[in-house]
Amino acid sequence: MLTIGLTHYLILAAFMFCCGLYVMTIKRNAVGILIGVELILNAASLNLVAFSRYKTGLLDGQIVALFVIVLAAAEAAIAIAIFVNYYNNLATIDVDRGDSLNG
Amino acid sequence: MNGDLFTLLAPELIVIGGAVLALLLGLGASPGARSAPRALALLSVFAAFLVTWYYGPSPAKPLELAGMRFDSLAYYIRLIALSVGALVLLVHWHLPHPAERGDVFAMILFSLAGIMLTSLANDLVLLFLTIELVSIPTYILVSIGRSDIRAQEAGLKYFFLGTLSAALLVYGFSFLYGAAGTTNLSRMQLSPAGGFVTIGLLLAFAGVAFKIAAAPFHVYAADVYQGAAAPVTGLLGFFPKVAGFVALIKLLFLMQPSDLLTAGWNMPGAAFVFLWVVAAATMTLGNVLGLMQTNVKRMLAYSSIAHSGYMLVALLAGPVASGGPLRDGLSAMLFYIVVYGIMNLGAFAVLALIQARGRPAEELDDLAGLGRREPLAALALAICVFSLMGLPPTAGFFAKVYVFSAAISNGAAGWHGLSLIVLAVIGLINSAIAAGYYLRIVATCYLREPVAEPIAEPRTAGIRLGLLGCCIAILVIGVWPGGLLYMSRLPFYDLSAPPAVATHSNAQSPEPAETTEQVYAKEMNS
Amino acid sequence: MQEVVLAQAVSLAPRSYAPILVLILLVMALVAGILILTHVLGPKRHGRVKDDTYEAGMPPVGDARRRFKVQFYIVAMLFLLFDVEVVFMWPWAPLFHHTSVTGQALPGGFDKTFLLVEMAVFLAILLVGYVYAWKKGVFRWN
Repeated sequence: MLTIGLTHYLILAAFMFCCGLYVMTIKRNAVGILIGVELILNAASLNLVAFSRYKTGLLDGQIVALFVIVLAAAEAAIAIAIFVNYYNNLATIDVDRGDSLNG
Repeated sequence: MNGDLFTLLAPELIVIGGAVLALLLGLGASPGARSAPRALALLSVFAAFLVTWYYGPSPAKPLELAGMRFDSLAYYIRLIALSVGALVLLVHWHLPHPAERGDVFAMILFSLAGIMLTSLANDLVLLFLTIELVSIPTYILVSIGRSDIRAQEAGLKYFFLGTLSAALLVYGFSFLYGAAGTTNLSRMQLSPAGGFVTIGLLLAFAGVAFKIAAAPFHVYAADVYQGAAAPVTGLLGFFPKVAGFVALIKLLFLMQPSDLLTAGWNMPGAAFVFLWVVAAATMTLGNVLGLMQTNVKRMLAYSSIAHSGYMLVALLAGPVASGGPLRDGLSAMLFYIVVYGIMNLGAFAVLALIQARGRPAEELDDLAGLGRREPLAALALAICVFSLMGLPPTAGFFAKVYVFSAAISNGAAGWHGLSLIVLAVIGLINSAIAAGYYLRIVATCYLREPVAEPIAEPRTAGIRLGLLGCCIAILVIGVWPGGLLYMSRLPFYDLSAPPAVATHSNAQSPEPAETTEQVYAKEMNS
Repeated sequence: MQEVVLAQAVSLAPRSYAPILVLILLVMALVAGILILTHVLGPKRHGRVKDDTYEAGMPPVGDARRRFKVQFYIVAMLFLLFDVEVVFMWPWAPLFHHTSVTGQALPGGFDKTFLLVEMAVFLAILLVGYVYAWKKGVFRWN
């Protein structure tokens, strides 16, 4: 019988991490990129909770995961503010359209 | 009631209190209330500085309390953050629209408090949160400092790469937690051989590399520096870098045996190679790309990247027991970062002060003829640029001397010591390459005919005062580096007398202190 | 040592779901109570707009890709922040319970007064955020 252990959670988290990176690189919509970041942050949370459950048996990792969730929310809020500002200036949130800076 | 924490954290509480008040005062409708945030911000920074100074460096042994560690490193970082912070506030004095004054100054103070807390953090979660407390206000500052499409674009780019770095950092931290089984940094005894430790460290280093704009994670820097308002750019060269380097120091200390001072850094081979390659690539890419720029802000952005490389060299050399300050890489790095912060801020303050073609100077052409039109501003720019270049008698000279002498005289056995010498040689070659674009800035000011009639913006006493402060600091440190050097050596003295790790209030009890989590677990059990 | 800690952690699993059942019942009662109260107390006016699906004036039928007022994003952002901050009260509550029931301070000398002040400061900072949003006119819908 297969028992679910630490390794399974770590592999799932690594998969989420890779998905997040992939989404961040291919998405052109700013909200899409933000979703990629959130995936990576959630991968970290999953790691923390899994280590907390299987390695330490304490709650510290879960508390850290709570902080990560709150930080993710704070970043999403800043993101929306920046997107709204960007939209007001460029009338799009397609990140490829912001190309006035290069060299 | 535990009063200790409030007294120990008084500087941070003053700065955060000032930030909250500035935010609220900025909402007021009257012009008086709207100009108050600036004075309030400066006042709270001075008050916090005095309190920190009054307490002095850490007591006989570093104090550990509530996930924080009050040691000499924290003392030094608090002092330099507050002093450079005061100059940053002065340089921002005339930037924001009056309606945004409260927001801008509150964000600067929040970021400043973040740096101070980063230096105190003794827990993975606190370290992560404080680094973000430094970064998040800077995303906002880049976007609101300027009502320009380019500022919005820079803000968006900076935000995305910043959040990616935060995500990498915390994903790396999760592995460090898994390897150590605790989030408390002093109780983490990591063995560099572990697989989780290597993965965790590499991910965390990658996250920090974004914050300090090190290659290959430097790509955003030039765009962001160009897009943001000049004073904000001066801030970006110091705040996130300090937080990043402090985090790097704290991460490296996780694996140190008691013989750190004789044996040098103890870290996984992959991590050493990673940092070595990053340092070499950062210096080289920064300076070579800097040569190709015609926009002064982009030039200084690449210079900022290159300087991160020099600091990494010093950090890799690490603290060494014998041989005095010229061999101590840790204090060389701590010395370098404050000198870099001041000279970079000064250079951007000149750009903020000078108007050409009715907008803040930015292109090299905008500065042509500055030496004749505005001799004082040109002199200030020359002082800052010569310091960035590393010419005596400026502070930049001693900063570079300490960094490279620490790397060359490290004397670690085998390939480790040799690779540091190679790194120092790469750094010295790079300093010569960098002279190419630094001299171009000065030559444009003094030797070329004016193209765009650069003039110093009138009624900008704040920026002028901040610029004067930067120049005086550069020259004073350049003539008498001993004072700052002594301060930057304090963390080293902490290391030389390794303190017993003890929780403050439980120092006398024979049992090891119960962690909060254990108390909680017991409580739920009963 | 490790086994003891693990045992403690396992014992953290709820032994009885009765409190959760009570909570569910309470929430359902609250929802029902509020619905009934608004039904009884609320004024009843009818009209074309009033009887529409969303009283706020959003046309309920139309192109799915239409644009929303930017205020929706800002309110969503504020909701997200205040909603998530509440999560910090959860670890705080058992610790406060522990200190106030046993009278013992937590390691580091943090007693119940400290914890109470800490939470007050936390809520005060949230309140500052709320006042800031209010004063900036986020809740003005025009």
